[in-house]
Amino acid sequence: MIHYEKIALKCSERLKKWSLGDPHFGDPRYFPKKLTLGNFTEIIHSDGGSRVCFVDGGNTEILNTPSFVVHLTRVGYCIYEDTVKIEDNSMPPSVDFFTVAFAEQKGRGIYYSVEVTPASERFQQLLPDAEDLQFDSFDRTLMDGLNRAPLTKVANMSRAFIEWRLAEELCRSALKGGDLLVRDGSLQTSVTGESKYANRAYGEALRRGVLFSGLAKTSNLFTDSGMPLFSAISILANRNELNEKRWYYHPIVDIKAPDHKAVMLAVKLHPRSKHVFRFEILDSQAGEMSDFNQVTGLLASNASDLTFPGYPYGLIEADRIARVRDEEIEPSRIQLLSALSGLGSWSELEAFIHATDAHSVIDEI
Amino acid sequence: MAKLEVVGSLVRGKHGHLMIRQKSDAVIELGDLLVADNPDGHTLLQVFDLGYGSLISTKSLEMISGMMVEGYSTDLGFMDPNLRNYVIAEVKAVAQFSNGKIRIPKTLPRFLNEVRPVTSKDLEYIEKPENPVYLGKIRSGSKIIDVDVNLAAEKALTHHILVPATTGRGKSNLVKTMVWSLTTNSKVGLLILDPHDEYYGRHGSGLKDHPEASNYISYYSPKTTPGSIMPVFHLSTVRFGHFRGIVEFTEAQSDALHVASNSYNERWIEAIMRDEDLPGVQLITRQVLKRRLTTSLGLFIDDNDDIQCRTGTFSNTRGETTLLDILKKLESGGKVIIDTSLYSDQVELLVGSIIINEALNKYKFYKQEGTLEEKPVLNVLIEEAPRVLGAEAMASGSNIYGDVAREGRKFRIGLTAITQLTSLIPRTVLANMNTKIILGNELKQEREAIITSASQDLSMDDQNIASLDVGEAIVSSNFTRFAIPIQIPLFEDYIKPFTEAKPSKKIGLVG
Repeated sequence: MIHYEKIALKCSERLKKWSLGDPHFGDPRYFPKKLTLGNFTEIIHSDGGSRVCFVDGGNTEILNTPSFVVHLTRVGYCIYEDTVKIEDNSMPPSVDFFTVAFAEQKGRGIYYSVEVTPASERFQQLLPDAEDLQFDSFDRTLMDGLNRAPLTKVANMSRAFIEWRLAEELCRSALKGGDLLVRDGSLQTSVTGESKYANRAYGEALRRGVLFSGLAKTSNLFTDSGMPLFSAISILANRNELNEKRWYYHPIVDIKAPDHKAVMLAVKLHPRSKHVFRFEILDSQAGEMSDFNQVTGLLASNASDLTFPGYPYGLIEADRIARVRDEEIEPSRIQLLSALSGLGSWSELEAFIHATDAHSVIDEI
Repeated sequence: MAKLEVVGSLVRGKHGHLMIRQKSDAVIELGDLLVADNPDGHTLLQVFDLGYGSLISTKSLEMISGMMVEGYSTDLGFMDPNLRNYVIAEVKAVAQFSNGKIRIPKTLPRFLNEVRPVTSKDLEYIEKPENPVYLGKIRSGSKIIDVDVNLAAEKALTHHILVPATTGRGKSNLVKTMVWSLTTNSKVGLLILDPHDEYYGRHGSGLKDHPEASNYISYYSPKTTPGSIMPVFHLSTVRFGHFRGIVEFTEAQSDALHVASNSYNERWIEAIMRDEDLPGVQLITRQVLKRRLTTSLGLFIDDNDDIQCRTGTFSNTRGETTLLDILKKLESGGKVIIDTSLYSDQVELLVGSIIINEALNKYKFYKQEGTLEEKPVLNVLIEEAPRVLGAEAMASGSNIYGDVAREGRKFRIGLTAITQLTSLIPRTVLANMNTKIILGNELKQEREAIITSASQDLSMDDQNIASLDVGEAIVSSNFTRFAIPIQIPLFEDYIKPFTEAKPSKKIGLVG
């Protein structure tokens, strides 16, 4: 027997025996609920009238040395009313920032210091506070296992902070009561200082009556049988003839963590969709809802695009707007290196670059 | 520019091959003329191809298409359809207009420049020549722009015109329109060999309906028709050189013809037909020659011992002045139509050869004596041109048509050659035909032959030519700044303003 068949046999046996299980959370602040058929609710298509705003961010490295990195960060958004894109003049669809992260010694430790510069002075208000951009290189929320946090990770985190700032600003200037804001990813904050920005955004949303939510494309949550949580929910739905319907599943878990102010749902946003996504609503807003049809219906109305049925098209568009393309990197890199060289810093810079570029040299051979 | 007029925007490409993204609510057609405005004028662009563009990957599109046709796309659609799926028009810049001049484009329009449809105002720089031959109106796609397209008659007609087209594309309509516009132009003499008898208008409208037809048009037809003249050529007007390239003779036969011509002068045909002596020529050769003349000219000796012709085209008793009359008509700027519908190919070409040979000789003489420029230009219209201009025809020896194609220009004599098979005409001949009025052609090989010999770069116009509808054409000429797409008017519509003004003649009896 060829070894592929052996492996396939092992997987197949396991797959067939796997039970669905119930949601499992290792964090004691999370109180899982049993999976049960009665927790499915069919989503009724929204009549429209409210707008949905999608927010996403992207960043890419322009310069990378062990002691400092430069990233081009971009945050973007789009607004839809039903299937029609709405132009909003209060903000351009995307805003660029340059993030520079340095490693420096403070006392006996190495700290990372991040400076963010907007491409246009007009967007200073989206900058995180400077004091929030200092990180211990051994910050547990940033570390790589037991290793010091990679410098590039703090540059990524500044992007997360800016995304929250953008969401706050959109609630303030572009959205009105009843509108829905959807960020790419859950509402769980993971890094030191991130909660501050999340809370600011929530506060603005509550003040304006904007519904705040997040949708995660991927999830690493499991059931207690080892099955992916959202796969288990999907299988449960399909076994009970819900496979040709739109639905949401709630409750999954009671969350008592202050850095995760959310009600978690599983959503299937189109009958033809094969995907079930993790969707979270700000808990204080969810608590006032008798059901979640208002929100999920609004989201479903944006999830009927032929390219990806069941995934909100606005998130695809926001991703496109916020993405920094490969072809943008080299011109930015060249301009930066040129400017550095013009300031007479080239010889010092070269030493930094060559500390880690052996791999790319080999790749070129 | 008012946003409503915009049909697209230039998104990429290079000189000679630009791409326009079509606005979602606009419709750009193959062959459309579009305008990109510049600060000091505008650039004229022509669409030569259309294609789909999409921000969605090909694999996803095929999947979506499958979902749609298999019925899985209920309640699904495209978000932002206008942004994600679009039409790309491939265009080339054909002319730049600025400061009152038309130039060949040497620069690119601005990147992302909006484009709009052409209007007649954009083409006001196109001047009407002094001595025009009318072709039609400028066409943008299938739309007609109210700008007339004329060629300078003297130049175009002496530098030869080729009209390549397959059947049913409007060749006859085009020719009738052109000839009508030249009817009263006494600086142009036209000889039209009409193998389908379609130009004069024996049945239906034609050149006979021109108000000045009686003054300018002579119609020769073996069929009895009011206004027609019987085309009979006296045998004395036929010289053996007229047969060159039309009827093939062996070396021995050619020598014999020389002998007959030298011995009997204008009676040489009669001498052969009557078996008269030809010094040094074998009997068998004489007999063969007689047989050749019998079959090619349809000659025979009747019971009265007269030489007759089965088609009535040649005679030894009539038609002494036919050739002279025709030449005189041509030299006075008249138009001579010869109905050759009842002739064999050989007779038709021979009749043409007779007239053209004599005309060319006269014009050579005029050139010698310095009076050529005072004479009208002559143009000979011949259909199924490969019969005399094709590689096969030219390989078996030159003929007068080929001579005119090669050097007639020097003597103000030109050809208008109509053909379905351009590929049969050698490139050396095609290169001399400086105006091509290209009608629709489905045959790729023919389109390639036309494109490679055109006066402008039509290498991108294969689709354009293939999609030409009846009455649509592209004029590629050394005398136009760019290859002009035209719509040829329906002849009956074109002549209406001329004929409606014509007072009807009523014949009454006065007792």
